[in-house]
Amino acid sequence: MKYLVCIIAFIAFTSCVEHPTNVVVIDAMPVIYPDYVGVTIPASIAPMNFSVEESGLELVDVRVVGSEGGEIHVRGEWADFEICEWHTLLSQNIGGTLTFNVMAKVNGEWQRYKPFEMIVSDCDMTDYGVVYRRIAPGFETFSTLGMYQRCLATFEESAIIESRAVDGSCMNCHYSNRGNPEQFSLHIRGKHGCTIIHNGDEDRYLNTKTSETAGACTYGYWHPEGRYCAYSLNRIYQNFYVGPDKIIEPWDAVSDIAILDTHSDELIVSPLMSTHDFETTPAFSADGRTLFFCKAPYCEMPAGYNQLHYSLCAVAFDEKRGAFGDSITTILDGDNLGKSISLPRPSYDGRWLMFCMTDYGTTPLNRMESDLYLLDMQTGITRVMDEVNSNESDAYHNWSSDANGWFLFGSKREDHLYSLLYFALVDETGHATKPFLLPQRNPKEYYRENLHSFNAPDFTTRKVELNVQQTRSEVLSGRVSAVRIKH
Amino acid sequence: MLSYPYHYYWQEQNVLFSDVYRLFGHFYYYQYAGPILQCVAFVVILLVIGHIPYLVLRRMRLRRCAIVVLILVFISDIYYTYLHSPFNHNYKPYQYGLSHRDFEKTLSVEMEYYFGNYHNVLQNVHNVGIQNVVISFYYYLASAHLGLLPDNLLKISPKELGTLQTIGEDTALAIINMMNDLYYSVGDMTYAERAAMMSCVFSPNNINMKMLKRLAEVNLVSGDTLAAMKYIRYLSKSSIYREWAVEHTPGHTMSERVRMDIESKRRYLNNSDTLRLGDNCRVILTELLKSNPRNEIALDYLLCTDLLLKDIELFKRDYDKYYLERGLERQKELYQQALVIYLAGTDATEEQWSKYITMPYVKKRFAEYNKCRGSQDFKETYWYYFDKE
Repeated sequence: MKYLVCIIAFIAFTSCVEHPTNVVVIDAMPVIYPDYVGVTIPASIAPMNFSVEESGLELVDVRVVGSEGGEIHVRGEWADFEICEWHTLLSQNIGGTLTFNVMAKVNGEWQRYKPFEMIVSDCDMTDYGVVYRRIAPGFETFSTLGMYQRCLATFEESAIIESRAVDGSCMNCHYSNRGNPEQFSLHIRGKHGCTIIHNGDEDRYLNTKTSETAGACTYGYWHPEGRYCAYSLNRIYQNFYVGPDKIIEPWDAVSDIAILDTHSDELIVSPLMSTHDFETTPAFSADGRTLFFCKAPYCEMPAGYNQLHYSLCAVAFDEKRGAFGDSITTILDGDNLGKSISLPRPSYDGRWLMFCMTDYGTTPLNRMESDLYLLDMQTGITRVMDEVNSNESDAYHNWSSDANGWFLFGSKREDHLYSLLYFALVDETGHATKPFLLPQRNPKEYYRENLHSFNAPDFTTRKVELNVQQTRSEVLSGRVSAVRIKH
Repeated sequence: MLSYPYHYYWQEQNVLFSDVYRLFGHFYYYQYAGPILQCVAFVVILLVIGHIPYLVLRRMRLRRCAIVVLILVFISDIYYTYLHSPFNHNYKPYQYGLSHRDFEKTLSVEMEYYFGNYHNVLQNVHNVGIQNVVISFYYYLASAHLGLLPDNLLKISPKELGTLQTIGEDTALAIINMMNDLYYSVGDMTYAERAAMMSCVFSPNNINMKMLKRLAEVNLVSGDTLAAMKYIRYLSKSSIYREWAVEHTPGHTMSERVRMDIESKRRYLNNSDTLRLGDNCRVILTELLKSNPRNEIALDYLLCTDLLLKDIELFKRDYDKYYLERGLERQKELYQQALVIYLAGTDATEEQWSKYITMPYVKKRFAEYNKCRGSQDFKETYWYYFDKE
């Protein structure tokens, strides 16, 4: 009797599976969302699920075949790969390709498309995931926001801390030291404002506003040795545009650069880096001996907002003395280029330096012409990364801690409004692969219904553990240590 | 008139039925429940819950089981509909400083405006018998769309045009929610987008369908199809807004009416490309008038704001610059009354009187008013407002 039930169940089950018949062959690759055709992926990435963009679509049938072996077959409303099967297939095909054979049932008729490929890179991405601030853009305000982390091998997203934990205070970017979750800084703004320095098991709560400096710590970057963290001290304002083409223009009334010594809570300032000009977005070189930053000559703001061209500059930093060098070197002159440079990010092996370039101003995410550029630190040659840039804003890039060329960036290419996360790989010649959107279980539903921007993303080597309860009580208690100024 | 209670539309806009929608697949609207009704519901629930152990002790039979299930459904219904519904519990009308009845009346004005029934707005305002800033705001906005703003400016109180409001973190939610309508009507797409975004941010779960529609409209008018489609796709997922989304999708599904609406709005777009140094509405309106002198809604709002501020000199300057010098032919008694004040106060020549005062009876009536300044007989005139309010 038991066997009979099983046989009936098996027959009933198999009879429900439709076998495509009278398949029409389409002489084109399928239009899929997200566009993953021809992308290069790391072997550790989550399933690259996608939908086929056809009106009248009923079913999608995808057979993925690895060049080095292995196969997955899925059928459903969208290509939804099982995580374990996907990772098995990827691990079998490192350095090889995956061929996607796609069929779609459209208005009752099966169609077979030309297969497309994804390349499984042999450059590993060992980072656990990415960290970002997810915020519904309200331009000047917000209701709920938080710092989140997302595992790159799965679809798991978790909150590191949300604004409701600190009584709705605004949170600014999370800066880790090369993706190290044991060492990061996080700003809380507003009434309970402070800068949290997380170092191993110790959390320090600092008030970085002083009477001698331009403002509180804003854009940060850790020294590779972990003792110092460079910050720009900005006083930021924003104005709206009159015409309908652009919306908002944030600008700095004042901006200087200082370095926080996390051992002594001293803010190291220098007349060289605290001039009347605007200095901002610092980043240490891979060896920690140089501090890159952007600098623009002073002009009356906001009147001169569209004449503001930031240059890419560098200054030496002596880690032993905790002191800046004596002179500033201009690497790329913004005025000569007629462009404005921002967010320099050196690769952790010291080979590349990626930055954004816009027509003017200091916030690339708000400027649709913002593109990524790559400076070869060996040859000094800069090139625009056309292969990853779009017609919309491309900015907020960061390198994988593996230092083998993987990087992520935020782009508004999807809808001009919301910044989403993309990944690509830079090869030995400085050319990047086609970028791919952060995978989701059902990407079409997720991204089309998403009303949040993914801000200031970075990699994290392991899951970030923050004691939210303790952070909340410390922040709300107002027990913050004042930083001292060191000249 | 609209087909069902106004607070249903409000719930649709604020997506306050999503849980039940997911459960049963159809929309389910919460009902008003004041403190008394909530107490009654609470007592009923206590009685029912208290009865369950009794039934259990009596060793229920099948029929009794069914009764208990029905009772539990009833409890859930009361619980979700009245006692703990998001509508009554978290977003109840008193948070807007209004009773249920007044909230419904206020919505009767706001929702008729939302659906473009401007004549109904004017009619409802006179029928509801209550006064608040939301009612006045939409009354004026509907009047402006009908070209009647100067005619209706003095007919109601409070005189809330919205032009003296700015949006910030401390602005009341009701004000934030309505400001996008003003900016959109006068043609400032940047600020309409900003206000709609702000309104969304302060809505339950950061989503307000009315604002998403506005964001789609703003981007259609600005020509940013990519951004417009983001919101249209979102709205097309909802059965309530699907038809609207199809009608507004750029391409062959866009209706002729929508296409013409968008085209007419585009004529009012601001064509300068500079930064705005604040959200003073006067700056916004004058910039719009520089781009398009035929923008009558912006012009009426500018002149009426001057008049509400009782700044007659500023009014005269704006009238000259944006009205007379551009050869506009609309004659409004309100403006004539204000000009009479200016001319009388500046000992104007006869030539000036005849240049500005084209309605001779206004001058005659002003002479009558001057004999009994502040008389209730002239309550409808600007002179009375100028002297007494």
